[in-house]
Amino acid sequence: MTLVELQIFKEQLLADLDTISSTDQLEAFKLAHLTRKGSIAALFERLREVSKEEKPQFGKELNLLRQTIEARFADKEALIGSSSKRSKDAIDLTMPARPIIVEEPGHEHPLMRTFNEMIAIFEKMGFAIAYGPEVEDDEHNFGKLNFPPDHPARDMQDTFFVAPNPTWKIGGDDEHVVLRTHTSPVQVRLMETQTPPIRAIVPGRVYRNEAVSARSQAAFFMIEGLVVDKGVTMADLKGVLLSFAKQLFGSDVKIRLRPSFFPFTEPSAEVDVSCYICGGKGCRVCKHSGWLEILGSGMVHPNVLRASGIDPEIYSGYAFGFGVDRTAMMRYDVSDIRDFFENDLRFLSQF
Amino acid sequence: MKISLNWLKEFTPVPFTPRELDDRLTMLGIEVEKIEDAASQYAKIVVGEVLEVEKHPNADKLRLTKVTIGNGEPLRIVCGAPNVRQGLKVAVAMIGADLGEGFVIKKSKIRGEVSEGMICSERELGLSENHEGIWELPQEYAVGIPLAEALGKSDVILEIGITPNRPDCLSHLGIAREVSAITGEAVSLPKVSLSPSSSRSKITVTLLDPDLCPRYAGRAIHGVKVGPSPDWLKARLEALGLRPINNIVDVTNLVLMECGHPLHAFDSAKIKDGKVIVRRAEGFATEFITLDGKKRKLDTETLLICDSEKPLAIAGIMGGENSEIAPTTKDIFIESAYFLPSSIRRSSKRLGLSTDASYRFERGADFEILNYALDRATSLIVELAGGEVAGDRVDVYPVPAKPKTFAFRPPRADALLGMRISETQMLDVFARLHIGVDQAKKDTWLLTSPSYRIDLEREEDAIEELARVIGYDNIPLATFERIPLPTTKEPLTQRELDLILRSELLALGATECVSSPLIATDEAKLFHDVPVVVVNPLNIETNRMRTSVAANLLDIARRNERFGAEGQRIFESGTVFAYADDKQMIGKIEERREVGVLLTGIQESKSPYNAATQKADIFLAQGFAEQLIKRAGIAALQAIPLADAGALKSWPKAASFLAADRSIAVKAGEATLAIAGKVSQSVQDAYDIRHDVYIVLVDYDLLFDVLKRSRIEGKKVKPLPKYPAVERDLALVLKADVSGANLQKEIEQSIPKELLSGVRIFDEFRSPEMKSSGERSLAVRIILRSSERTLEEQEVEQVITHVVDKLSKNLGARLRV
Ligand SMILES: [Zn+2]
Repeated sequence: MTLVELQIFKEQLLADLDTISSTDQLEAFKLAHLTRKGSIAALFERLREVSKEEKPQFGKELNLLRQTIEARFADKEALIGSSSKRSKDAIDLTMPARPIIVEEPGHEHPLMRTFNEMIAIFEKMGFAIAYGPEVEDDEHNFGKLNFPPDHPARDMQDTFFVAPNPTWKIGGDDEHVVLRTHTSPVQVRLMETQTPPIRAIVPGRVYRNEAVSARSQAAFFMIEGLVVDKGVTMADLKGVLLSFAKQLFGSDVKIRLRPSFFPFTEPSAEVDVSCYICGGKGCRVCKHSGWLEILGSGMVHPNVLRASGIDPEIYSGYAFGFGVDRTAMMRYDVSDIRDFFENDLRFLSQF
Repeated sequence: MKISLNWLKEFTPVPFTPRELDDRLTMLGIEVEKIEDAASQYAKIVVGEVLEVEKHPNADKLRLTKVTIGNGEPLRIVCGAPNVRQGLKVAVAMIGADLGEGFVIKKSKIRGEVSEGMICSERELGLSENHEGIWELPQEYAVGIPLAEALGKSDVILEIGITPNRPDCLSHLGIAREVSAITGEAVSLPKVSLSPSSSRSKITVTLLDPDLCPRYAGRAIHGVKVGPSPDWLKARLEALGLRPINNIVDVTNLVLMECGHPLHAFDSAKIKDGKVIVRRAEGFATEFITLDGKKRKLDTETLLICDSEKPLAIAGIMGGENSEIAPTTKDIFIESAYFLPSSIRRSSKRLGLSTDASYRFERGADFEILNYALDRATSLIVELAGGEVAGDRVDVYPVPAKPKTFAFRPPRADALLGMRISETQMLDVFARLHIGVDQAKKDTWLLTSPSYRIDLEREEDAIEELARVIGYDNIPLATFERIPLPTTKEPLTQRELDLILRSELLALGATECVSSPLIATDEAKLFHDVPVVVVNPLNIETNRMRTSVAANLLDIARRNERFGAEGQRIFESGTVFAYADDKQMIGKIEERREVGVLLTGIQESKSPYNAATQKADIFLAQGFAEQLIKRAGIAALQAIPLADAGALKSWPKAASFLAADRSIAVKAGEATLAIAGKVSQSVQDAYDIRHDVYIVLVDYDLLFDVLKRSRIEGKKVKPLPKYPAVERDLALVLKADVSGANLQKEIEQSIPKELLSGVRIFDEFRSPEMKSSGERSLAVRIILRSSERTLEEQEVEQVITHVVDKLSKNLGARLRV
């Protein structure tokens, strides 16, 4: 008897269990393997043949084998409804539901609370809500957003690729699909299917292939905004963002737009909000600058409008996008983003 | 990238303090990430010398010292460091010195003795973690001079982040141009003078692939003496975080930092036949050893700098070991070229090799600066390493690039920015940025971008330049906006359903969880046979997309159980992924929304109103499923054992991850909206959870559809009943295998439809006798009502008697007495 033989035997038993579909087969399996004269018991007998050094290892593996098979057998038994099991502690599944006793209300997740508050602010301002797929094609996530192939702008967003079908192989012909790196592809989807005026936000999950750290998480939440109409200007963008910032952080806050670069907007602006903790005087949270970076924005690039079938000579638009996690961290003084995803009840029960 | 303020000032006047410069550059779109300003960081910290050390009268570990800082009376300073001693040169923080984090030195009394400053350790100065004792400065430091000066840190270093569209800013020249856009002052480059020479260069250059290398220039220098660079050059490079190597390589690096153009120096003795050939690797070489000593596999498309028999460098990325500048090198050839950005980027990605040179070339170098860079490097090399410039510059440039021009309509700036800008102001900004303006046509100007501004190619780009230089702060704020009014009827929105389900779950005492949809294969496979594969995962634990939120909830439950949670009631709502044979879906991957609830451990604790604790069970799970769906707006629900529900499209493996004897499906008509049940033993073991776990999974998308349909159909109220209802309770003893549903159905069928108002099981009881005879008792409340009359006692009795008869005959039930 070797460990490999033991492994093969275990896999054999599991395969046999899989094929069982009747009570009779169940009984037969039990008789053959699980009784005192069954095959597993026989293996324990043979433990005597094993050398002293190897015995602990064998014993451990054998015990594991027995536990696994017994657990799987119990599942199968429950599934088929073996009479022996039913009579013991069968319950009548057609009885009415139990009334739910609530000792205290559940706790909102701080991230979702922030997320929902932000969505509500934009709803109040008359933005429609749109959704889009998390698995995207390269075209929508990059191409139509004016990221040329082989352009360093693609480095700004480290991308996860997913296999487009179960038989996918590296180097095959199937086109790549990506986990969207931002909610911006939904901008394109909106413009492809609607005619302006368009005024919507896109809340949702996005993915970045970045090592998980106290400041970054591979999957996080974003809200995107898009307004396209005749005569939309950067002054409109500023107005909407200031209103949003005041509603979220307080009526005293100021915002600051500064030039930046995103392939899908031109002009582009990074938007800072005056630090609502120190009031702009400078503190630890704002790294003594008095400003907190909250979002990226800009006027929709003519290439993006054109790629979505909208004439940039007639229409203009603005877009903005921001992560929810960073703002939630600042609000609740959470220093490690991973705390949000641990879901430790001792943490969540504070909200 | 690091920028030295002192060096920057050699290109253009910088009339700003470091803080102001930070602010001005930031508002121009050049992000200043960090300022290393030793002079202000070490303000009021000077070099001192310890004159006397005495014991502190009131504290064993403290000393009283007298420290001179040059002029005036020596300072009395209390010090706790064991290494303080007479004659030591030390860093003294005087009164008013700010050591950061709000720590400002004040005149104070320490255990009754006056202290007029502090002798600093390295850690207090932010130089290292060393807090063993005070910092012992070199003896040659002069007493009284500022510490920053003593350390030779009089420069200010700016750490700058450049967005990928602005490679022109990746040098001191580039940043100087931006400063000049603010100040309007000129930018000047160091003057270059080259002495002509009679000897001729034997190097010839051939471009075999001009599509990837449209311009290639070079110069040969004979008889250089390779050696270490002078101190000023070393210091300059070191201040920017570069390691000095030798005078030749250091000059090329200096020029890179100066004007942003990458150069490469070859040992020209190693260039066979003096022939430089620029070509694709195809058909010439398959591997190459770069100067870091690594053997690199070459793709056929990789552009190489070769001689007649071998590659010498990977173009624009890294040179080769075979032609690198060695201490014995006498003759050199300096390359200054332009390579196609996309080609450099592809090669750099494929090789997994990114260098200062490739970083600039892949973003786009400046066609026009390359001769200046070459001449500047040549003159510096001759100055520092000697040698003689051999003949003329080689400059192979078959098709000179035309300057980029584009149309610009002045009114479009206002239309896009919402800001009035006068034409004079526009012309001023364009002049500061060296953008050429042709106003031949009044309405449509023709602009010409400078060769280094690869990002300026259309009207919107010019508008951004205007906004940037005039200042985003000057763009006005619109205070209201036209809002397109909705014109369609939305019977139900996803947002509305989200909020209903979320608020109901919170009200039911469930706590909201959020987790990542990227999970481990083993866990994903418990809920679906072929989970969606992440091709390039961060790690093996996150290489699949989740197949059910149950996978996350179980993981959370395990952790909280470890942390000692007695009972858990948690939920998560999110997207789950599976392969589907549907071409409509991107990548044939189906995304569904699922709401999951997990219940484990104690769900009702003891209280003055509750004598016993209650753990999670199937009926509580059922309660959650039904309550949620009813709250969403679907009242007519039916719960059936999961085993009777048949195959489920949304949960193909439900029969394996749930235990059949403790699981149900909740249906509205034909649609299975939710399943609820005990997690099977094998899954519970896989997650290593001690307590029994129950989960509820709601098919959000299906619920949404069913609900939307029912809302479209609408609802009409029924008139209120005119006559009273009559209630009768029956306690029945039945065989244990007669199900509650069966009993209910039998009762409903034996009552005339026009009288039936409701049937409800309200108690279950098993005496020991019943247990042994395989029986149980169920109590039922029957509610009768007629819409036409008040029911007579006699009529009610008749109905009830009939019911009891039927139950006895069909189910073998008898009344309990
Ligand atoms: Zn602050």
